[in-house]
Amino acid sequence: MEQWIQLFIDGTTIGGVYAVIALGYTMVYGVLRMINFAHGELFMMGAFAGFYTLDAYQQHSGLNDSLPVFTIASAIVAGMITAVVLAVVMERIAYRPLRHAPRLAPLISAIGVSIFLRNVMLRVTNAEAQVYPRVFPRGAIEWGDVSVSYIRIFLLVLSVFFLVLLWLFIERTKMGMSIRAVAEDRDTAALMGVNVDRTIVMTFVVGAALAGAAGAVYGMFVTTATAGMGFIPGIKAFTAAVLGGIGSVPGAMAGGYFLGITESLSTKFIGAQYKDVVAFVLLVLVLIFRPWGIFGKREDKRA
Amino acid sequence: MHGRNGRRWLPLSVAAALLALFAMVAVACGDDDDDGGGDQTPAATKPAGQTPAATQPSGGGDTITIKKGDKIKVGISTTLTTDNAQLGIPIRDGALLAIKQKGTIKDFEIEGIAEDDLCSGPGSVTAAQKLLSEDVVAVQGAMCSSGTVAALDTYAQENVLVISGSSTGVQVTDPPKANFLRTAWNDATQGAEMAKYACTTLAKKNAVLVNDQSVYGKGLMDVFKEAYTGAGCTVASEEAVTVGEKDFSPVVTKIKGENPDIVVFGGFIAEGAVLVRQLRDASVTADFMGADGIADAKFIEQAGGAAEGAYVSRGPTPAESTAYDKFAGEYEAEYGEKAGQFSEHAYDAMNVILAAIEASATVDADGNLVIDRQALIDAAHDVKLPDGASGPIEFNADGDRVIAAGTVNRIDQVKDGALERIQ
Amino acid sequence: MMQRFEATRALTRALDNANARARAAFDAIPLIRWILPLALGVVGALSPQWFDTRPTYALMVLITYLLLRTSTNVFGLAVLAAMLVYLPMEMDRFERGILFDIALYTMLGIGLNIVVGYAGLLDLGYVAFFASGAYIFALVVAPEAGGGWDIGASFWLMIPAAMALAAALGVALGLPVLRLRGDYLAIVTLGFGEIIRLMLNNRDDITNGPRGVYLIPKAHFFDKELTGPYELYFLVLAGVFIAAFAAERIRDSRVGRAWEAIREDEDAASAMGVNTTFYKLLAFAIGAAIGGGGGVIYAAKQTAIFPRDFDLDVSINVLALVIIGGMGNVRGVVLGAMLLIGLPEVLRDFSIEFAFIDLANIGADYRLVIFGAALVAIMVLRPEGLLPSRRRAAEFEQAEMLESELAT
Repeated sequence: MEQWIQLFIDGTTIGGVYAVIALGYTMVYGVLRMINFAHGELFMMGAFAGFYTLDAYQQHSGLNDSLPVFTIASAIVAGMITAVVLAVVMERIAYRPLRHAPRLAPLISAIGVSIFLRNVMLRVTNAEAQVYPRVFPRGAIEWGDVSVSYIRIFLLVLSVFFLVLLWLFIERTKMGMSIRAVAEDRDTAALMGVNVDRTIVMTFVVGAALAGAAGAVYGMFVTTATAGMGFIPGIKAFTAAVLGGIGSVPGAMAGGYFLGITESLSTKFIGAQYKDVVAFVLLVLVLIFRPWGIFGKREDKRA
Repeated sequence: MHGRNGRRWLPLSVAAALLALFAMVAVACGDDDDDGGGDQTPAATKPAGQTPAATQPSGGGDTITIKKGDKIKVGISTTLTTDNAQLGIPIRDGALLAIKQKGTIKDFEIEGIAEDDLCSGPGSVTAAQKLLSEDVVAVQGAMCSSGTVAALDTYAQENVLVISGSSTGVQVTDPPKANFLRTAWNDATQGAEMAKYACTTLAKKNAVLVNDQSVYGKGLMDVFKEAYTGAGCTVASEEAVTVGEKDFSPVVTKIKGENPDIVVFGGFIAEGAVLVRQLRDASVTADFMGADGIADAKFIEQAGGAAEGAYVSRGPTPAESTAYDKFAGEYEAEYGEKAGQFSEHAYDAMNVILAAIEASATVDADGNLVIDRQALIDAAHDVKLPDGASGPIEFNADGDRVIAAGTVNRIDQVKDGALERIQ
Repeated sequence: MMQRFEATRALTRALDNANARARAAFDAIPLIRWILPLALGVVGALSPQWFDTRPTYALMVLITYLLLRTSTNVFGLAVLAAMLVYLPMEMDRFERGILFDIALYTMLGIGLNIVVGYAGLLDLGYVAFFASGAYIFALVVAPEAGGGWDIGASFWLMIPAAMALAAALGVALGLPVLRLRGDYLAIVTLGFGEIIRLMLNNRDDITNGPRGVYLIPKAHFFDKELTGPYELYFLVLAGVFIAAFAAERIRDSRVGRAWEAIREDEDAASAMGVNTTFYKLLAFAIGAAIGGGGGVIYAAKQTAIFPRDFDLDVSINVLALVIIGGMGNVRGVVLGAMLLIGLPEVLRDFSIEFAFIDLANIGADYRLVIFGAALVAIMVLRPEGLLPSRRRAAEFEQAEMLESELAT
């Protein structure tokens, strides 16, 4: 029983990360109908920005020890800023010129961006894993055999916090309303006076901020950053977004948690080497019965 | 558009027919020009009228002539892109250090050419083709066992000497290949020694094995399991981690549930460091053991203190030897960084290549250096380096290293953040 | 529905006009069409030393582009065929290796193009069929020492057998996903590709797992051993031509029109009596068969294959080359493969050295950085691909026109 709970918590942690990354996928898909394959690399860049920030504090001051709250917060902000700047630049250079292009062209452009970023970081780091300074207080809450470290709790809470924040942003703000309007029908939204370009950039900004922050916190959690670290979470988050119904914000959250927990439980009951098989088989099963995802809307014409 | 139907098939079918014709002609007469692009570089000359090496892999008779003033080119096949470059770059640098120290052979300068092999079968084959087109004399590599297995066929076609410092897989020398040697320890040796140490010396009777689903990790753990259970110890479960992932919590939770005496890991530093750290974070106190894949200061650094007490097997080494320390010092002086876990093996491999060239190359009347491919391979088999950085080097008929008398399987333990030899 | 027919008719007329104009323009510049390739052929034949990897590659891409873009007659394709057969005779081992990979990926691209370009089914798991072809061949022919089953069979017999098996797999994977559309289909096919790879890796009792299958015996053409990429290149080239020929014929047949209808509007196609299930599965099956055939040749050339050879990157590469070339168009695939597969390898030698700038290793170290940037640049500059089928290009233009008309 205790192992069940532990596995469930393990799965929820990584699932929360998937969910936060998946939000970026799903929002961009919502407004542009494009899969931003470079989104996982924004996550990776966020992790590096977090590392460089904390490392700078470590090298040049004692703040990591005396004021960890501040350094952790600034690392997260650095991750967000880096990812946002990159996202705005990539939207401008690689995606905006392709707004009216055949729908698979931006996909390839995004793959190009992804290869570019990954290999730039590989050269910058000389392919070595960068090790985070241990800033976060060690220790864990123990309950029998269940042990939940503080950083895990932080990651769990933060992912939920981001999800709620995003939901409020989408549902309650004017910008959120524009995003929904553009996702619904770009041309009509434009007619109604929504600045479409600005809304699309804003979508990228929000998605990237989430990915960057997730990257920085995930980096602290796993304590290393490598150039290739965005690839697998990127694919998993993409899967989660589709599972939940791509274009749907609650769908991305549900998909992320579902995927994380599935992976965790199947590690125990089927074997770690089969966890991805289980995840994909479940995906197929879900989509056979609900071809538009768990929360997705039926969109026949868009296919 | 349907009106074009009638015309469309004609050009394609005629072209296909032409192509078939061309192809037959080309296959019939194409291969007497096996080295079309090689004319600008030191010529790979073939005695007139001889069948090219391509059709008789171990045929011999093929010689390389290096003109006076040109350089002797030696290839290095290693991984320079993807996260595996973390392993590959120190391998390249170790090999290049050997070349730099050697300087010249019979007054001919030596040039090392490194190609990216992506640690994969197809990548290593491409790297092999590239190196062969550069007319290299011999090759250090490929980095990964899968790459070596795939690329050896390509090298064999030109009867090129290949020595790997990092391909440890059992299958690489089983069956043995005439043109291949390695300074890396065969996983069969390493895995059995690890099992003996864990089961007998440490008396840890209950193990969980974790592999990274690679040729190396899975192969090593298979050997370990056989020897370990053969010695009367039990394997509680076998787990796997995915290369590239960074959160192994579910696997850690499962290991915790098994409550083993020792966790044995087959894989490389990136995953090994994450695994050991997450095990300690989950307060799993079982011992941790790995092999040459994690024998690196980076493993300790990336594990962030959690590696303390971990055992690392490094292959048969003399009890007293300063050769490795000497190499490590020179490496750090040259590159300003610590040597990687296969650097010394790559360094030794390159030294064997250079010694073999020295032993077999002759200078002809015009002052050109002539190297006979088969003679080079034979010479390499006979090379002995008693002071190899990774221990005394001598090869058996299969191309594997002979376990020299007076050596024991070296086991290091992480103490105070550094690897310290305990056996 | 009437409006749709009107639109189609207008589109066809516009296309025929565009076609005629393009041909007229092409006929007016014989220089490109006749003289350049001939001159190059003569120069090449006279001086083999003149060939060097990068210029040869650049010229090959350029000539292919010009020939494919402008010619529809026997002569142009014959020149192309002659070039593709002649060039490797002058090449060294590395260049031949690249050319083999280009030809192999062209073949895979043609297969995927049937699924994605013709039938409009976005498939991100094409590697599954490539892998199954390669593995079934390798396992059957490799000895037990190499992880195989040691059954032993002829290479030539295994090609159709593996193609049939891959086609069956295509149908089997296609069946559960018939209802899925667009990006849902993409992620499920991606999942299938990964499942196949993971099963090859995990079921080591059957497939020898991560250790792979090796010691794959060489294929023979009568008495001649097909030793390496050079010999097998001609086989792939033949495969490319057969696949291209078949693909174009099918596209212009009843089946092709059914695919087109499904691609444009599946519901309408179904309402008009097109058996969408059958035609979708047919597209999967044909695409899969070509991929399986490619897998067999790949395994025969590699002599050792590993589950890791068949990861997601392969699917992405094949999809990218189809799109970069110009979707729905066999000619585009050829060009896409030359760029996407050739470029990263050719860049290995790239270096910049003049005055005080010394970037001798820029190619070795930064080739993938350059490659990523090049992908973006190509897509931004030529969003429909380098060689879009004229029909497709016109469709997009019209769609945009309609869109802007509606918007204003």
